[in-house]
Amino acid sequence: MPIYLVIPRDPAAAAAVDLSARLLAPDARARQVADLAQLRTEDPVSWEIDRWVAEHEAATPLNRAEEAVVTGTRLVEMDPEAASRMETELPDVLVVPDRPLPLIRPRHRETASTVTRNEVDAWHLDSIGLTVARRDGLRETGRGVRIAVLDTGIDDTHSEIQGKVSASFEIDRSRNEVVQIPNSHDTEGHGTHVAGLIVGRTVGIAPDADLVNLIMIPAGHGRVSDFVIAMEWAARQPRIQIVNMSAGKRGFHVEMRASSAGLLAAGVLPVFATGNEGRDRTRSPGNFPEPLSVGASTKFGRVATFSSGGTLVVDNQQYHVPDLVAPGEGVFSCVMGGGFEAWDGTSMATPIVSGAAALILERHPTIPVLDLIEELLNSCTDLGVQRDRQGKGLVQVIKP
Amino acid sequence: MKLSPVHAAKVDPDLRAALERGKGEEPLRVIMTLGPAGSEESAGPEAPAGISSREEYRRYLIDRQREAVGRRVGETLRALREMALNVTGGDMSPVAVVEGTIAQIVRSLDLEGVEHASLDQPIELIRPRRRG
Repeated sequence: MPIYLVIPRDPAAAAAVDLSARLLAPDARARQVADLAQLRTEDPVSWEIDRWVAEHEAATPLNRAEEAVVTGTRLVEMDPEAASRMETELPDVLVVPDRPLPLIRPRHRETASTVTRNEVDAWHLDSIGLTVARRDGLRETGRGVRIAVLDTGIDDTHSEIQGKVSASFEIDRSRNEVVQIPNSHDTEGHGTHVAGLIVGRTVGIAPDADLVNLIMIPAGHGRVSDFVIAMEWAARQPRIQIVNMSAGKRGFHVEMRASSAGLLAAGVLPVFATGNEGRDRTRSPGNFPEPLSVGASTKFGRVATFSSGGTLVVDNQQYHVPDLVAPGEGVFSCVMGGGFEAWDGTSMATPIVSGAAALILERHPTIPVLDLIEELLNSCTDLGVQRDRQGKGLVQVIKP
Repeated sequence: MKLSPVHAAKVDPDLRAALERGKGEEPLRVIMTLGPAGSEESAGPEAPAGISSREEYRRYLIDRQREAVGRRVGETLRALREMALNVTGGDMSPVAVVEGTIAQIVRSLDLEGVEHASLDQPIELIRPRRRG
C-alpha cells in the first residue's frame, strides 16, 4: 500500500515560535521543540488529520502527531482513492505520495507533464464506447451541430482545434451585452482543454461539430450576472444547440435556476459540471433539475472521489445529481500553446457528454431536447454505485 | 435603508444586508426573478410538421419562449424601466439583471411581478487538477 505525506498547508505552528529563541545551543533547541510540540497539540488541523485517519479503516498512520512536531508532516499508508478523498475533505492539508529520492545525476531531465499526440492515452474514448462504435461503422461526428463553450476562452491555434471555432464572444460588462471579438483566445487554459474533448481530432468525441467560444469566466472569475446574460444570449441563437459550462457557486442558488430552465425551453441542451468537492456537495447551476448535470468517472469504471454529487429536495421533489457521469480523472486534452495534459475534473467529463449529445443531434436533428436527455440517460452503463454518485451511470455513445 | 416585511421576504440574505446597510444613492446590481411563478413553458414540444432542420426548430422554440416569457413578465419589465432602472434580460427567461441605486431597487420590490432578488455574486470556475 502506498505511503503518503500529509502536510498542513499553513505553517502557523512553526511561524508562531518566537524567532528570537532560534539559537543553536542545545537547551534553546530543546525549548523550541517543546514550544512547537505544544502548538501542535493545540492545532485544529492536527486534530482533523487524526480524526480523519481514525475514521477511515483504509488509512494507517505510520507516525504519531508527537513524532511530527517540527514539520507537522504525518505519514499515512493508504490507497490512492483514500488519499484523493482525504485531499478533497481536508482542504487545509496537502497529501503527497511518498516517492524515491534519486541520486542527482548529471544532465538528468525532468519529464514534463505536457505530452505529444503520440503519448496521449485516450482511454476516455474507449470508456464511452466510441472506439468500438467507430470500428463498427459509426459515421456521426457531430457535423452540423453547434456547441457554445461558456468558459475561459479557447486557443484555436492548437492543431487539435484549428478551424473548429466558428465565432468568439465576450461579455461587455459596461453594457451587459455579449459582443463578438475578432480572435478566439483563452484567458487561462481551462476552456482549451474542454474544447479539445468536444472537437479535438485525436481526443474529441465530435470532431466535426463546431464551437462558439464565449468567454464568460475570464481568468476563471465571473459573476452570476454574466451567467444570466450568457444564458439569455445563447437561448436566442438559433444555431446553438448545446451549451457546455463548468462554473458555479457552491450550494443551491435559486437565482440561477430560471435561466437554465429558459435555455431548455428554447430547445438548447445545457450540460453543466456538478463540481469537484466530492459527495454531498454540489454547485449551482449544475445542481438544478433542469440541466444535464455531469459527474466524473475514472479509468477503472468507478466514480471519482472528487466528483460532486448529492440528493436535493426542491419544490417538494427529490432528485439526485449528477444525472450521469463521464470520464473525468486523468483525461488528456489540449493545453494552450500546444501539447496535451491529463487533468482531473468534472470539467473534463462535461464536454465528453456534450460531444456524445452532438452525435445524437446529427442523427436526429429535430429531436426535442427532453428526448435528447432521455437518449443520453438511457445509454448509460450502471457502475453499481449509488444514484447520488453516478446518476444513471457512465454515458455511452450511440451505436452505428 | 429599512426594508418592509414584504421587501425582506423577496430578497436573499446578502442582498438584504446590502440594502439595509447601504445608502439610498449607492449603485447596486441585482438578479431578479420575475413572476408570476409556475407559468413556465415546458421544454417538450416536438417540431411542428414541415420543420426539418434544427435551426428552424430552434427558431420556432425561440419565438414560442419569447412570447410566453413576454406574457409573463412584460409588464413588470416595463415597470422596472419606468423606474429608471437599467434592465437586461427577461427575454428568454423570467430573469433579469437590474442595475440602479439602492433606493430604486427597494422601490422596485413593491412590484408584484418581482418575485425574488439576489445580490450579484461571483461565480467560480470548477477548477480541475493537473496531473504531474
